[in-house]
Amino acid sequence: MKKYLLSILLLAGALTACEDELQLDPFNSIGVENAFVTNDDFSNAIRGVYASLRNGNYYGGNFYLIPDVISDNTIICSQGRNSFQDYFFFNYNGNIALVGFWSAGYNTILRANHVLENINKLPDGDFKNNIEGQALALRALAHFDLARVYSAAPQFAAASDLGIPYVTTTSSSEKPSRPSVADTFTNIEQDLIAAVPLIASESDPGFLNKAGVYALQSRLYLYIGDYQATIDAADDAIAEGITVAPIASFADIWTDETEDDVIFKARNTDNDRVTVGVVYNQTGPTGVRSEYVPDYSLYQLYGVNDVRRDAYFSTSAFGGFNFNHIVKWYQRPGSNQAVVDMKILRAAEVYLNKAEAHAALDQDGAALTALNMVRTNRYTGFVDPAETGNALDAAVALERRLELAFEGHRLFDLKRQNLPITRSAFGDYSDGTGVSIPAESRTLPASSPMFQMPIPQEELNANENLQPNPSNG
Amino acid sequence: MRRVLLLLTASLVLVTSAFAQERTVTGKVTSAEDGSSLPGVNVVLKGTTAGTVTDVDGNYKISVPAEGGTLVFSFIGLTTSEIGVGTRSTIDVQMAADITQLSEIVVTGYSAVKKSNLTSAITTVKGEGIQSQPIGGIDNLLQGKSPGVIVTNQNGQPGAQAYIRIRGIGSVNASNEPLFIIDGNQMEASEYNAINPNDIEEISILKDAASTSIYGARASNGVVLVTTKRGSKQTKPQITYRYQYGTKERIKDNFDLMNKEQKLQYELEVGYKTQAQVDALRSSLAAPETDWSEVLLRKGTVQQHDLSFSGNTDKSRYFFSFGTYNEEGIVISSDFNRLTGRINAEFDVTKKLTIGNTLTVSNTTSKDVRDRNNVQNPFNAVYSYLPWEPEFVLNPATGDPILDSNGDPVYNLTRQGFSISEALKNNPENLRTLNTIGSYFIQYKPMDGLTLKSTIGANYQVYRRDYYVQPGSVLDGYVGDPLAPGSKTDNGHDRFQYNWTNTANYNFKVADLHNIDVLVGTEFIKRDLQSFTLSSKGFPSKKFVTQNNASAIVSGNTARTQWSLWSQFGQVSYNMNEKYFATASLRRDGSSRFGADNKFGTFWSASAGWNAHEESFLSGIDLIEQLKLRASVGTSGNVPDQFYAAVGLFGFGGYNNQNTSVPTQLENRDLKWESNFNYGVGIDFGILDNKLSGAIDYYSRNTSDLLFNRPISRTTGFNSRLENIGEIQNTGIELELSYDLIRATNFNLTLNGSFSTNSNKVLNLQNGGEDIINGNSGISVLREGEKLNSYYLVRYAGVDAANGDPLYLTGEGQVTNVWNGDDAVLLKDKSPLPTYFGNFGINADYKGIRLTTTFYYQGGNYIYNYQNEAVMMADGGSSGRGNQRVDALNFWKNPGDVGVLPRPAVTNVINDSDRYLQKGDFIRLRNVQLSYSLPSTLVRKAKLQAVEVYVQATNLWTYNPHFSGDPEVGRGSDESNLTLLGEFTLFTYPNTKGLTCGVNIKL
Repeated sequence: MKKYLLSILLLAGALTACEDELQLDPFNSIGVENAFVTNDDFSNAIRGVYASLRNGNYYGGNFYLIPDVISDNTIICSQGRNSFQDYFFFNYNGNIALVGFWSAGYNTILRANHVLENINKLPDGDFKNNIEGQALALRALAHFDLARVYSAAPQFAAASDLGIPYVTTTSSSEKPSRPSVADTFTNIEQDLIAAVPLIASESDPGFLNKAGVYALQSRLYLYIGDYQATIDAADDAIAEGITVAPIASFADIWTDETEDDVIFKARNTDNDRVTVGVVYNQTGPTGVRSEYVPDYSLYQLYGVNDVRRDAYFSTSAFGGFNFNHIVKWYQRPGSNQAVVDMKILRAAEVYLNKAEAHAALDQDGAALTALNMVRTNRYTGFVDPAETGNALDAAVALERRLELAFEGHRLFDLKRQNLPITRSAFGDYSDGTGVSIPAESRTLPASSPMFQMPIPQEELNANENLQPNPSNG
Repeated sequence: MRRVLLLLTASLVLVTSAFAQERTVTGKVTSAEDGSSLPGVNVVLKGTTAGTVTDVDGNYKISVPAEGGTLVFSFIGLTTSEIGVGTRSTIDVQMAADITQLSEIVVTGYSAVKKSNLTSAITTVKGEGIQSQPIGGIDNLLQGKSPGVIVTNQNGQPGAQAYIRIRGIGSVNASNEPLFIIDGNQMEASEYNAINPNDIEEISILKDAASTSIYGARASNGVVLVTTKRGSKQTKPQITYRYQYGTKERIKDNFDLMNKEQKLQYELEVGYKTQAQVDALRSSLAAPETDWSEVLLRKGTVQQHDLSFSGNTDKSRYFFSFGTYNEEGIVISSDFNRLTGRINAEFDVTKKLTIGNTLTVSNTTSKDVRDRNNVQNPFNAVYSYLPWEPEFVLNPATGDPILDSNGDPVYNLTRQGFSISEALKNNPENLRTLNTIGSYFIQYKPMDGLTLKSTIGANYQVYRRDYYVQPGSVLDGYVGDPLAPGSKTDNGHDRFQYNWTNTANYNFKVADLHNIDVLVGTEFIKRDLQSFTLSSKGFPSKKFVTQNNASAIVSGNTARTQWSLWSQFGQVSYNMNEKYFATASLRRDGSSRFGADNKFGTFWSASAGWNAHEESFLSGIDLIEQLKLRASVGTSGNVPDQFYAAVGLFGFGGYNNQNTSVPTQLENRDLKWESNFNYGVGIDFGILDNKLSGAIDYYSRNTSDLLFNRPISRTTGFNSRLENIGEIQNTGIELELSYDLIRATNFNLTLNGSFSTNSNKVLNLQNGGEDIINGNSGISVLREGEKLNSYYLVRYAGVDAANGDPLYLTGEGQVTNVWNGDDAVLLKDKSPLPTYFGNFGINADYKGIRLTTTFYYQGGNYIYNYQNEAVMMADGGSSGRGNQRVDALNFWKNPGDVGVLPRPAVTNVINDSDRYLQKGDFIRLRNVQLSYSLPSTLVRKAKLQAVEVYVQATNLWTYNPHFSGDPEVGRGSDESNLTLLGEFTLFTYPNTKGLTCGVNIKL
């Protein structure tokens, strides 16, 4: 009997030990409450915000493509796979909506908000300020990008027009409604203003710095139509030492062989392998297969003395037809196809923002100076036409279109100025022949609700407080 | 024991033979099943004690009175038969397995009970019922074996697993698969294929709370208990060899695709091509008529060998087996091969102490094809490749293939810029899994009625997958690095799971009337999985497939997850004279998957049974052989798939080659078990001399605190959060019948069938009752008061005869020609879940020839036919550029056209609507088998015990009046975001029909 008792006791002892085995922790993560303790934790977390920009629905690809696809910059390639054709033909609605982009933008915002909610765990000082400044600026950038897509243009929005929820919390139970367009842009502006004194001046272009915040401000004020503020912000950025890439190194921007001109880009290492350029085309054994090629009327605007012509395009046959392929995001040499850093803010844009703002204020001389800063660095043998008045306005607009083509600006540049989309009747082949766009898909009047992308149905389903856009269908 | 019996009966014979006028009857007793001779069968003259037993060859000799009398033949596990002697002097008898299995022992979890003593709904599937099928997995083999259980193949891929749904669906985001236990070890789905079906003695499917509650937190979807063979009852070693060979082919669609001329006409009419382009293609030698299903598909084959040794000695029992299963799929580069070995042995060390083990080692290798909805999917290609596209590039002048520098034909890259035939060869994906599943037990019986048992079990799985994009392959040209051609990914895992189970079982009698059985036990399970993935690029040539040949490593990582479960359980069973039964069980489970606040859950059950036929007031009624009433009630649970689901987490990654940390999971400290409350009643009956037997069950299954990824506003940075949000009810009736139409000496004919219903309803959602759209597919919804996953779609209203526009209904029911996602409505009672299903068939045997047929049917479910949407009803657009059904030509052309498809256009987009939602009802002839057991005289001459040859056909015939394509839809596609069983079909690996022949030999 004693023997039994002993073995039962032994067994009981072994069995209670099992209870401790129920506390198992993950091998690849840490509890939120322990995520912000050391300085390194904050460095990791702020880099995590940058990493979110690489999402394929955001700067990782689609956000460079779709705004140009919906615009007059591109034409669908008849030898492509008809990817995104619903966008090209203005056929989007609540179910064909940029749900991935909507999620990606707010994911960036969530990550920034985690940093900001914990920021006071850091001792005061430069390190804390720089982290906080970056988080504020990134939160502003993502909201700004979302607003460009889903809101009406701030300059032309009615008081009743809706912006996008400005999220400043990490709470998962929120179901925000949409503030006005004006309130949305005010919030973006406030975050950028707050970021300026905090963020550091120097940094690798893979991270935002003071120049980057100024550059973003100049873009924001241009959208709002506050031209003097645009000029001031651009001047502040220029004072930080940004420079427009010269002709000699311009092409290298797109192969990551120079960081001239680049104020801020999202880094994309070979390990990350985000195929940014694959949305424009893929290169295979049968050649470059483009989904979208430049509208021939745009292509013709790049003269032979324009350094951008070869940097942005290459002409080759696919399926027996010649096309002008968009190779701006082609690849970094030695990396996999379409893997390249994502350029988000460039010095040329800042000068063009400044030029446009001066021109709008009829300060033609200053506008021309800023414009020529770009033009002298793009055209070999550049001769200044010294435009004034309307001709200067047109020259600024043209140069902006040529410089920023295929970087996801065109749709928003038209929209913010209340301009229609007018596509040419050219075909998709390299000489302008080939399959042209059906007449009914060639124009989109400035008043069209399709300029405001539909709010994804998934969001409306989960958040009944959010109002749809007219384009939701 | 048998020797004792023999002596006893022999002495009885001696004693009784002294009386009366007698004559002698001789004969032979054989098995109705396989014709083998049956030794040891008791043969008794009815109404006397005079009797004998059959000898080793099944022969007997007995003295009967001159007037004859009646002989009673009996043997454990076989149906007792009574045969009038008459004037005959030779009586051969075939004895069949006792189908009512009244004395059968059923494994019910940590114990086993006599079937007649069961108080719960358990279906047992005998090993013989699932052997000799051209199907690899034990999960797939359970198809149609039990009322209330729907088993659906994921798809037709060799080695593909099956979905098993026991009594409906109770979960949305947690698993709906039952708990699978083999010889006491919990299995994961990926291990089902490791088991050789020929090794199985019996499978018990536990369906109700009374049987499942003892498995507590893992049991809400039912439990499948697999017991492997333990050595035959015969002392003589039994050696069995089985061989099988068969072919398989795709089940043809019930519609036709366009041929070259039809598709050209379509392209011209819709406007994809100009007249000139069409004319050029019509006459081009480089664009011949191609049937892509002929090019890409082939006849699959299945081949099985199985050899087993089984037997016992006085103090040990053993079962050894070795088996191979080789299946080639219907498309090249898809196959499944398995090698298995098993050793099950038990030794009685002393009278009180027994030790033993079960152990199987199995190696499976397979080749997979891409099952996504993209150009890499061969089954997409079968439908969408154009009929004038050749497999190889042809010389336009001669029509002959153009050869490359090696003299090989150059693959045509088709409209999609890809050649699937080339990819199947040059982008191979290989999987290999090594599984070891074993358990070791020690059992001690210190006193009468008390059994102590301790079992240590372990499952060890090594899984490897490699995927090689060969240098120079077309895909490499698209996704590879031109400077480092070729890329290879190796990934896999190493999984170790162990369990330690201890039980004490005490059964005793009180006053020779009350039988009481008490079971208590503990169980600890821990699983540890470590995985890796490694990718490299830059291969010198396609001959070199290992990554040490690569020029650069692209990426690599390792990961690890664990879970554990710690439980105590107990069960008390009582019966009075095997007439009145009651059982109660209790289990407390602690799981590592929950936060500190909700780690433990307690589950219970109670059940009762009444063998009414034992009552004196019924025993007088000859009509009723068996009548049992059962009732049960109880609870069980379900854990989330996630391992660390309750905590808010930050995970790590990289940016700029430096660390990042990012939020990866939302916290939910309140997260807890999904819990089931079940009750049910049942009747087992056998009437008319047990000619008609069966069971009727009613069940109700309530799942509450549903684990659900509730979609949340994406402005939070997340799409959803795992919450316990509601309650689902499943109710249904299960009916199983068997009727012996003919019972004769040489001819037996049995009809059998089952009918099950399931009615499913979302009772409440703890979020104020608002709709929850299925965030994955977006075409189904959860709504209170409605069926789970009811489809949620815009309603299609036909074609506007005036202009050919497709018409839709708005949410309010107004006709409109504008499709708007907001007009989607819940489609009442239309969901992917069948409302009724079952099977029926016959068993007939005549002198060793046996015919078995099984029909399976199900209905009441709806399937979203994306496949149809793409190949017929795309109305142009980008899908219309691929090949189409012939019916797609029948579109609106002129005002007034009716009964047509909408007017197609190049720029059209596909708008999901109920136009593509089809009823899934079907009847399928699942299996027809004709077998012949060679006469024993012939077999004995060859020194064999039994020889059976057979031929069988699977899925030979299907009736599906509503659905276009194959209606048996499991997983519509491997697209990761589309996972609801039977919700849609989208170019997945098709189901197959097959023809198999084989032989079973017993030495």
